Amino acid sequence: MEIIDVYKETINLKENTELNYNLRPNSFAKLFFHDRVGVNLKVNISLDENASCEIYGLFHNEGKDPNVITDVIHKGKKSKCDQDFRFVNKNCDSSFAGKITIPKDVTGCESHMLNKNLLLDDESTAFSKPELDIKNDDTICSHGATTGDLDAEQVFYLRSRGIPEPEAINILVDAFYQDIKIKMESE
Amino acid sequence: MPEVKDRKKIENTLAEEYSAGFVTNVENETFEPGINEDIVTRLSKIKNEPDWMLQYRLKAYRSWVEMKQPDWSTLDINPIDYQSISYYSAPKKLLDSYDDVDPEIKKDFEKLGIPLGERAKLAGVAVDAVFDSVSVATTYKQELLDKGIIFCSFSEAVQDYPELVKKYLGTVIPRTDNYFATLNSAVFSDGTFCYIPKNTRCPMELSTYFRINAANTGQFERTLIIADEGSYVSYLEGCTAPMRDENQLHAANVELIAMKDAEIKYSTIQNWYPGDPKTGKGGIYNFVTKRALCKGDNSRITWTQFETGSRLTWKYPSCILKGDNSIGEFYSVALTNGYQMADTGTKMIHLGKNTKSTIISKGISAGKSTNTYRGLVQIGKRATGAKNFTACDSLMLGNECSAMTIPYIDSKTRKSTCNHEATTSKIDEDQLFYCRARGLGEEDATNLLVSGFCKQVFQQLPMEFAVEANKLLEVSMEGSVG
Repeated sequence: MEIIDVYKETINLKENTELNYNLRPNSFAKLFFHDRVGVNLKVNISLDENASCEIYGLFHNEGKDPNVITDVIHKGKKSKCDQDFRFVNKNCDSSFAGKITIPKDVTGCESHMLNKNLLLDDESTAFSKPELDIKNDDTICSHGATTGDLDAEQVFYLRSRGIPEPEAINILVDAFYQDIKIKMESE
Repeated sequence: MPEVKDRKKIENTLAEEYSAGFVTNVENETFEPGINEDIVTRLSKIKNEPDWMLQYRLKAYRSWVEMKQPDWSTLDINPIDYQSISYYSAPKKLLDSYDDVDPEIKKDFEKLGIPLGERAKLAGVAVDAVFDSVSVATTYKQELLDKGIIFCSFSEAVQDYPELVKKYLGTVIPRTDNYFATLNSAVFSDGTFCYIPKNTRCPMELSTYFRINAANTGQFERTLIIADEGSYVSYLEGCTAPMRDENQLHAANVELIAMKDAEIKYSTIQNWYPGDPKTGKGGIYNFVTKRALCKGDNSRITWTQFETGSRLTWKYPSCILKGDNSIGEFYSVALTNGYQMADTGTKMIHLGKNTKSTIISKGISAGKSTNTYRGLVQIGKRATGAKNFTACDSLMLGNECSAMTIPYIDSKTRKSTCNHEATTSKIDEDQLFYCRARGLGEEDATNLLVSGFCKQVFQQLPMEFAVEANKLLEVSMEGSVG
C-alpha cells in the first residue's frame, strides 16, 4: 500500500497476514495491530524522505501462538519510525523478530523499537529478536526488550485491598498495555 | 573542523604502524603444512602424550573432516585453505628455566612489555608466555604450587596432572561443538592449565601471553581453568602477532569451570594484527570458542574483554549458569577500525534457579569496519527467579562504518525477568563542542568521549590492564577522526 498523506488504520487481525506499506515523502502513518487469535503477521515498511511512521501492536493470546515479523527500511533521509509491540501470553509461545535497516548515505534518521512480553503462566514462553542494521553514523537508533511475570508485590497490594486474585491480575494486565490502548482508542 | 595542527597529528599517526608487528628471528621447528591423521599423531608424539589424549585428538579430527565451515556470520571470510597451514611450530632451543630462553624471544617479550623474569616479580603477576605453538616460560610456578595452585602450560599438565585434565577437558566445550572448536581439539598445541584448590584465594593475577611469530602457521591453544569450591582467581590474557600479508588463523578454546562458591574473573586484551588499515590485506582471523560453566551453586564468572585487533573476530564468550544462584557477567569493548570486521557478543544460558546475568557491550566502529553484536539470553524452564540485564551500545565514527545489533532473547519461564536495551549513535555533538570550547583538539576530545563511553567496562579490568587498555584505545583510534 502506498501512503501519500496522512494515514491511520486499526487492524483487528483474524488470519495470517502480510502487509506492505510504502510511505511517500513527507507522509505520516499510524498503524495499530490487535490480535487475540494468534496469527502470523509480517509487516514491511519502507520510508521515503521525511516520512514518519508509528506502529503499535497488542497481542493478547490464550492457547494460540502469535508470530510477528517487522522489517523497517529507511530509504529516505530524515525518516522516522517508532515501533511498540506488547505480548500478553497465557498458555502460548510468542515470537517477535523486528529489524531496522538504515542504509549508507541515508542520514538524519531516527528509529526506535520496543518489545514487552508478559508471561502469565508456566506454559508460556517468549522469544524476541530485535535487530538493528545501521550503516550510517548520523543516526539515532535504539531498541529495548523486556520479558517477565506480573510483579508479585503489585498483585499482593491489590489483594490486600479486597480484590480477588483473578481480577487483580486483569487490572494489572490492562495496565501493562494501557498506554497503547489509550492511543488506539483516541483515534 | 580540526585545526591544522590536529590534521598533522592525524596524518602522522595514520602513518604509524601496528607497534607489535615485528618478526622475531628464532630457529623454529615447524611441521610441513597440511592436516591429516598422521600430523595429529606426530603432534601428539612430539608432546609425548598418553594414549587417551591421542585418541581424543583423533576422534576430534575424524569429526572435523565431516564438518563444514559455518557461514552464517556477517563476516566476509576469504576461503581458508586448511591444508596450507602448518599446525605446529616451536622455537628449537627450548630449555627449562627462563634464563635459558632464547634471548631473541626474551627481547621480543620485553618489546611487548610483558613482565617475565625479574620484571614479573616487580609487577606481581604470574605469566605464562606462549610463543607460536609452545609455552616458553611460566613464572612464579613454585610459589603458587606451595599454595596448591597449579599454573602451568597445557603440555606439562597432561604429563603431570593427567587425571585432572582427563576429568575436565571437553566438559564445557564438547569435542564436536563447532567447526573451529573441533579443529582445535584435534590439533591444539599448547596453552594454559590452571587449577585452584578448595577455599584458596589466588594471591596474584595469573596471566598468559600469546604470540604468533612464524609465518603460515595457525595458533591453536587451549586454556582450561578450574576453580574448586570456595576459591577465587583472576586471569588475564593478551595476544599479538607480526604483520604479514596473508591471513593467519587463530582458533583457541577456552574452558572455565567454577565449582560451588568459586569465582573466576577472566580478562582479555586482544591486539592481534588487524591487517593493513588502507587495503585490508592480511591480519589474523580470530575464531575462538570461549565458554564458562558455573557448575556449583553461588559461583560467579566474569568475562571482561577489550578487543582492538584481528582482521576478523568471531567469538561469543558464554556462560552456562547451571548452579543455583550463580552469576554470569560479560563486559566488552570491541573496537574496529580500517577494514576490520567483528561479529561478537555473548551467550548467557540460565539453567539454575535465581541465576543472574549482566551484559554490558560497547561496540565502536570507525573507518570502513563492521561491528556486530550478536547475543543470546536463554532462560530455561527450571530457571525460576532468573534475572538478566543487557545493555549494548554502539558508537559510530565516520560515515563508512556500520554497526549491527542482533540480540536473541528466549524466555521459557514466567518467573524470570529479562531486560534488554541497545542504542546506536555517533558522538554527541554537544559534548564534542563542550570539550572543544575548553581548548581540546578534535582528536583529544573524541578520545576523551570514547574513553568515557568505555569506562563502565574498563572499570572491570584489573589495574595494570586498565592503563594498557586506555593506551591501546588511543592508538587504535588514531586516524579515525577528521
